[in-house]
Amino acid sequence: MTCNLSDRVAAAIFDSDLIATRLLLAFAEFLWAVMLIWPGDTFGRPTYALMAELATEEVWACAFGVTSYLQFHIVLSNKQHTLWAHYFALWNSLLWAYVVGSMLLSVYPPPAAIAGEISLMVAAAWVWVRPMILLHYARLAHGHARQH
Amino acid sequence: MTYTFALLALVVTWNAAPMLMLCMVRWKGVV
Repeated sequence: MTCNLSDRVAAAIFDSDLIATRLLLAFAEFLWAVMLIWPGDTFGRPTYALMAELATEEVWACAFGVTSYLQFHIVLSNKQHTLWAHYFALWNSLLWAYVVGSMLLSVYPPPAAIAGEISLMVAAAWVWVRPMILLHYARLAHGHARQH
Repeated sequence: MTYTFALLALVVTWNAAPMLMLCMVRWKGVV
């Protein structure tokens, strides 16, 4: 039975499924791709200065589009427990961290409108990190740890 | 360009840190 706050927090972040999180990430990536491919100079704005330094709008749009497609594929084909889906989560987390980091470093004060993007960056990192934490404790529980 | 490299370093650290911490925990056998 969950009683104190740390138990409830642990249950909320560890005992929840990440399918909805992946779906949300896939949808956000799709929207990024659409808005970057939209006619007009999006990267002309100062917020995207560091993203523009790395690649053009079209390249970023393709990266988001392909990532979104693969993310949807993972969820809809029930592949979230495969090894490649785990490595994909690393790529996804790197992508979100770069995008959010670039926006935060490009303008000051931080744009309030990217609160959602920051949350998605944390969510993407959690999709990458959580399986490793769970695996670590699963190994311990099954007695594969080094004996002291 | 300096900012880009600094950001890349930050991004890699953000994603590698939890993994390194887990490796350390496993290696030291803390928990």
